[in-house]
Amino acid sequence: MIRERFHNLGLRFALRSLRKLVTPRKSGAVLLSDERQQGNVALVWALDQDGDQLSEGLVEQLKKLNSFETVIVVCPPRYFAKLRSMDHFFETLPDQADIVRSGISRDWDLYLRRRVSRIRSTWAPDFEFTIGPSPEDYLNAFIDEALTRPAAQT
Amino acid sequence: MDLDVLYLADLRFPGGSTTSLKYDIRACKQAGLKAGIIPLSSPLFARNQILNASLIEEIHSTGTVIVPITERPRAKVALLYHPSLLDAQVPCRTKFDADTFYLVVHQTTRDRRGRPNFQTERWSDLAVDWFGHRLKLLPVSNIVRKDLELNGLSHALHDSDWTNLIDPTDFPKKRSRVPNSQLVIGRHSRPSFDKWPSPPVALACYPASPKFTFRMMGASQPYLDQFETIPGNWQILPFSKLPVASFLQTLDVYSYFHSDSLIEAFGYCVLEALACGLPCVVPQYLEDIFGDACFYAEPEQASHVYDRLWSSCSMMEKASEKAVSYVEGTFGLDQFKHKFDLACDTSNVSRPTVPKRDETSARPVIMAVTSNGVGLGHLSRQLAIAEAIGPTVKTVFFSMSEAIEIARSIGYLAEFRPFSRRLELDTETWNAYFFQELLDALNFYKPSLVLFDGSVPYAGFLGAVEAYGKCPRVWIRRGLWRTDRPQSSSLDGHFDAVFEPGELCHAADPGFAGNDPERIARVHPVLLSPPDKQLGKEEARQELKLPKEATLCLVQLGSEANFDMTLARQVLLEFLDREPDAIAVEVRSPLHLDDRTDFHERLLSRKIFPLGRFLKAFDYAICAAGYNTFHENIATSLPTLFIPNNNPEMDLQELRADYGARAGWNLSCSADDPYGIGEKLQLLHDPERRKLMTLACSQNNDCWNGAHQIARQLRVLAQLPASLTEKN
Repeated sequence: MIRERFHNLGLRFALRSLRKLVTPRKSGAVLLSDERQQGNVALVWALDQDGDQLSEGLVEQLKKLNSFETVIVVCPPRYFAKLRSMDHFFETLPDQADIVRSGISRDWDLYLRRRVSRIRSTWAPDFEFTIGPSPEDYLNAFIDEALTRPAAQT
Repeated sequence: MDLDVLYLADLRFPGGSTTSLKYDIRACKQAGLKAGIIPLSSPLFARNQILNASLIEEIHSTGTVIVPITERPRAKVALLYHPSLLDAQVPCRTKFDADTFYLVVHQTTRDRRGRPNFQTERWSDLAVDWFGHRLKLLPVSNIVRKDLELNGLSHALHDSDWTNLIDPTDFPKKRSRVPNSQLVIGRHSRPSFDKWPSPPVALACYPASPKFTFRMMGASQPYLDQFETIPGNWQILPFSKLPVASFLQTLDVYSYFHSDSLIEAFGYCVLEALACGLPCVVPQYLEDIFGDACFYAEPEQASHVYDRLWSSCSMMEKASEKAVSYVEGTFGLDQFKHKFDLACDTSNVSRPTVPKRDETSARPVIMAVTSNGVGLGHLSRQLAIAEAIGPTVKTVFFSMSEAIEIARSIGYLAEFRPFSRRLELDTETWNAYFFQELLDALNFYKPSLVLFDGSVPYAGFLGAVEAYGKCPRVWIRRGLWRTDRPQSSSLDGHFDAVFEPGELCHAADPGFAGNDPERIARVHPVLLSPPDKQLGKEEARQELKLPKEATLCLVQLGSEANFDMTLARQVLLEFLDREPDAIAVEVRSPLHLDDRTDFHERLLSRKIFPLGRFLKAFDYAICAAGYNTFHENIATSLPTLFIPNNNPEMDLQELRADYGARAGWNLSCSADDPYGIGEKLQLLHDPERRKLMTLACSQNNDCWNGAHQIARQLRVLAQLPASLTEKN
């Protein structure tokens, strides 16, 4: 009985030290659970995907990231169900056509740049990948075009 | 936007102030003048006090404008329509220009015991600093005028009163009483204590007597509990049990006495009684308002007046005629033009005329926030409401639903944020994240209204809308909660309105979501595809590429994310084997991935959202009993076997399904009863049986307008521009 108690005590100490070892190392990564913070995180920007299915390029990229514990894909929301079935996470940005159609005139450039920045900080990826344009190039291109186009209606 | 009269008013008052506004806007229209309203919120009420339905109806029927948030109207006369609204706690989000601006004083500044009702010392500063006009007061009666003079506000008084009006045609004259019959004496008023005399006074003015019955509408239970015994000749009715005019028709005499602390500013209840031709017995001080139209008495003398009236039919008749003619001559709607002209009088203009400005900005933005949910219920209701509000506003969806593509594909701007559950985050961390995300979006989109549909408003949501603070927020939450969640329902007070979409089985709802009709606005069921938007059978089948002639069974067993429908699916396949003429059509949203393994040559699959428009394609259905499916199928009179998902995190689907089955609208069976499912599918396959169910469903006609009912109230609450497609 006494031996068993000592054994348990020893285990408890061992576990406590393990917990110390696994202290979160990505303090800004608020969307990562403690467990996920221990693994590799990949953020994939796939902003200009079109069509009903994931592009070959994206599928290939995701295959390469098989060993990552957490993969987040930033893409149009029609791919969410597919990505969910692959156990990936996802984010999205309003696309150019949606913004023009909405007729909402605001400082989209600032808003979307802040949003991109927060996606990066809240997931704190170890690696970033882009399929198509980088978020910066994507935003530059479409903000320029959105601003030169008349809004659908105001 | 040019108006003759602009009312800055709280549309939630339950009593005389609102009734007088109702008749003011009617009279204004009859006088050929144009009225507009900017809704404000008086600190006298809980934040989520419901709008006064009768007033909303009048606004709608008279075409009175709710000034859109994006407009800056100009008016000849602007009326801040209650003294509680000239208060530092009351924001006014709409700017306006007015030739004259008045505070209409509906209440004395102090009660009978000298206690102040308002902070009158702040009125002048607030009028100048916030409304840009010198303080000018329009009392509703000579009683209020005297009170204002006594309290040092003579300098701000206008020469004329803004007298309350009434439309006598709404108050049919009471028929003569049978001689020597028992006299029915009555009164009505809000249940607040000050409207009722203390027990000793009440027993004096409403005494036990075989000659009289006292019928009282609005006495509260706490008030009545003060009495040791209630006299046997008292009849008590709850406030608003009957429409006022109907209640008054049941009386012979009206008698109104109140607590000794109250000074009635006007006594609108007495005006309503006089309009019906009821002889009225009231305190002496009301003579200032009602002249010789009433009998005046102290409470202890009141029974002498009743005696005289009881014994003299001619006295009753004479009093009745005098009452009606006094009301018509003094308070009829035709008096409006006169009081308006006096208020327009340029010698009383409170500020020099300002140059006309025509400021109109872009369409306002609404932000529809939805929780993730297991299915598409939250998102579907928000979409239904957004569609009902129409294109005069820009609706942005801000959702945790992974099916947000559905809103985007319909044409809405849609944002997504991941929810805590799948991320396996603790609630506190996720709420802190969501707070930042939503606040940034609110500051960016600058919405005029935030709608939330979900069972629990997250702390991050509440914190962000509070921090933004520039618009009303509204909670849409369906009923049929499975358990009491006081921590959820207690959050009502964070919202400016709480709407409960109608449930056909409301009568069996245990009521855990709350039952207070003053705080929760109940509307018809909210449907994304109401019956009048549905395609006919042939057209729907053609669009879905389904056989023209076959007997088609719709299959919609929900997302199955948190509930196992395997048994129901197996039974369905066996049923298809048994019935060679039956074809089943499983319908999923276009976002759903094909992951099922149950194949059958007569089990077809279609992907479509929303399905409602196509429901007439089907002869019968087997479905989960979620809110939207249940109500859409019954609205379509589609005979359905409902298999409730009774996962503990869901609403009481089994109650909904069983209630409908008992009413004859549908069949119901538990998901773990293969025998029952088989038998009931067989019943549905019988055309005669289906006819009976269709007939039973069709009894629920004309109650599918919930989305438009909510939209209409949101237009008032958030001052949204009217939609051309607005429905009653």
